[in-house]
Amino acid sequence: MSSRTKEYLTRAWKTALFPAIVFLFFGIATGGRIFTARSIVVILRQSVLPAIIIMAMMPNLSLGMMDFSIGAVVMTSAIFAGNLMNMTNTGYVGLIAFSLIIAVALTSLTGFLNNKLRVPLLVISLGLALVYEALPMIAFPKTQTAKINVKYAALAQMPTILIVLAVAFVIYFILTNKTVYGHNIRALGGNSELATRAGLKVDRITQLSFTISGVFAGIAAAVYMCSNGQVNAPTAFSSLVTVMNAFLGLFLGMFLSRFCDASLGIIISVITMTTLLNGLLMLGVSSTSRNIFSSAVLFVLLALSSNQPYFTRWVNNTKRAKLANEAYSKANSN
Amino acid sequence: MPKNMVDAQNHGVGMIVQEQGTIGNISVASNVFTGRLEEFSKFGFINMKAVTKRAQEILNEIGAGDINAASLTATLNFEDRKIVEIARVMVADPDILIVDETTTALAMKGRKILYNLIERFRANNKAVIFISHDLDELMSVCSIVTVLRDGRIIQSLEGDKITQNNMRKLMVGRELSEHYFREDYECTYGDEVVLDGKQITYGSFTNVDLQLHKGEILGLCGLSDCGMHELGKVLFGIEKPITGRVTLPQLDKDAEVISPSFAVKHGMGYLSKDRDRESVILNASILENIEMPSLNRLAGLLGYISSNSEKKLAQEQIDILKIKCRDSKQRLTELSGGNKQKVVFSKWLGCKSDILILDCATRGIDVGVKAAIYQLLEEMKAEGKSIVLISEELPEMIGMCDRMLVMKDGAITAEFRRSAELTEADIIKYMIGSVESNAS
Repeated sequence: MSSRTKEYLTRAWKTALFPAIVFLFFGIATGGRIFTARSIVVILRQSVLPAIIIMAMMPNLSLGMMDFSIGAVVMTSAIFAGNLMNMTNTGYVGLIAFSLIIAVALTSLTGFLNNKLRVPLLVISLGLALVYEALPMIAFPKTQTAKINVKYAALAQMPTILIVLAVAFVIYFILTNKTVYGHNIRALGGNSELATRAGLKVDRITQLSFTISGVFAGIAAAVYMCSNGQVNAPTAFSSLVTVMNAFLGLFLGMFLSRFCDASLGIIISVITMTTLLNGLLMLGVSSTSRNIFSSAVLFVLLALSSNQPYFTRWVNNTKRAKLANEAYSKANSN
Repeated sequence: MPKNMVDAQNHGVGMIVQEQGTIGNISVASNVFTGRLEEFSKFGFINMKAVTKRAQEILNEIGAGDINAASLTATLNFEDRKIVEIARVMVADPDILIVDETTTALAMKGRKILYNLIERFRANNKAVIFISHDLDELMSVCSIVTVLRDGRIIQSLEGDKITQNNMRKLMVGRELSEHYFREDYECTYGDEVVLDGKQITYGSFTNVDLQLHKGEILGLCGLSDCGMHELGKVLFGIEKPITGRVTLPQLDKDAEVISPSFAVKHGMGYLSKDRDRESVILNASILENIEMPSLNRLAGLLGYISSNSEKKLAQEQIDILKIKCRDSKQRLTELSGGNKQKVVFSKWLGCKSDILILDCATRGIDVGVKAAIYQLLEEMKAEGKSIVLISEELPEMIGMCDRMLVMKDGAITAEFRRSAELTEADIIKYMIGSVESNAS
């Protein structure tokens, strides 16, 4: 095993302690009720969709852009793919293929408009979220929904869903760490002006980033359709609420990416957040209180993370002040 | 004419820029090959081992083998990051190399690498365009010197015509007055201590004492990493000292400088070495920059600021310091380095600061503006203002300061008083040598 692999695994193991501690805490708090195979399966299953949605958001986030239309892309792609699969009777292959095609088309359109209009993505993506949410109502005005046969739920069941997550993880890891695209996107995110001066084609990389975002949004759409069986057309930004868990996991993932690889950080963060929400549910905490509590935990983590350098500096300064004072007293007494 | 920078690179023109030119969140190797990673890829998959190996070879070739190509660029110091930029330019093997004011960011190691490269270019019959305000450096590096002024080529000098006097004359457009620096050689300042630093510890220095008197120009000099720049920040309250404190005794013996807002409120001003990031807002107008520390003074009833008073303040300063601009609404991004520096001075003069901490006040500006700044410092001193002048340029320190504190390894190693006999060699031995401290 190479030293880099060894280091990667060590960091991964240490970071994995994070959800383990949360799990242990709720194990004690719930009197061991969370320590069941069923609970673990539920947590893992519930973590997959937010993890893949975060993977869809990360490429643009690496470039310093937050795409708020991603929830709408996932839901709209799911509705279109579900209906098209039913119409063409193509089963899983059709569902996945249609999900990918529609999601890639939508995110590519977002990227195209972002490049051409030069308006902040925040504005474009919120506007497009409303447009994408409206598409199923235009295309399927009578039903405004997609309903698939219950047999397709298998894709969202264990262990298939874990295989889907593993495939998504491997694609994401390779894309970000082993390709020119991944390196270029980091360079561009680090300093776009310099990267441009060095010859990187910003518009092309940004467009590619949106397309890749669409691939993961497409996978998420297929999983979303299978796990719900029926998806109704979202309205008035309800697609944003649907991906709220992913947003929470995203921020935690960014915090954890300091300690391990970002792709692994995403998965660990989502598992942590899902454990937290399930643990609170088992304790009988209401839905509203759960949301408040999980947000509060997130704020605390981010505050700790942001202030860690100050704390370290304070400890070091205290030690140094002691030594300096001793030296000063000694010099003045001589 | 190249269409853009990339086009220029593709046609054999490389450039090392004045500003920070590396990306922190990627490895040194990735920085060296930014924009060229495709050369190491197959079907989009990158061979990072090969990239790192080749980058290390290039670093070794230019004499910077101590920089690890696999390390994260953000972990390198400013100078090493500049060297990484040099390595990046060398990847393209340019026929023409443009070096834009790079040496101001480099210490001995970096300069040596750059000068070696220039020599190699010369030996291989390739050209180097070396842009600098440092006349000594221009004399030692260049075979032809072309002087530009106000956006126009004035004249080119060759051979023994390349002298400091000739260059100065062409840069300023007239003979510089006799007294470039102060003409007197006496320590002329009052007894009153206006800024008192006791037992200050911060960053790389420990237990430093210093006092600034009314009407004094106090110099802080040393090598770039001796701690003098950090000390300037502590004196202005930007950084909180680990031990000790900085007070304004004329205000109150316990009036401690605890923050920049306190410092500004009580008549202090600060000019940072990193002017563009820390002393001005580049995207704001001259007016907005100048009025910034004076807003409270300008504010009338309920905080209302009349545009007339703003304009008056800005225009006064533009006239006093002869800032070259269209009007006070011009953005700083459009000004030259020297005029930006004048705006920083205007900012503090406009709010009637009595104590100024000037960190590398003449860094990267032409001799004409330099002369104007030296004259301004003399006038401020004559008005009873007190100045801490932090600089690595010894002629400037010897020429302008009443007292000089030399710093080395985080301590004050020597104190010199103004004197006609004082030479650079006297100071240098306390900056780099192993002589015992003469500081009391």
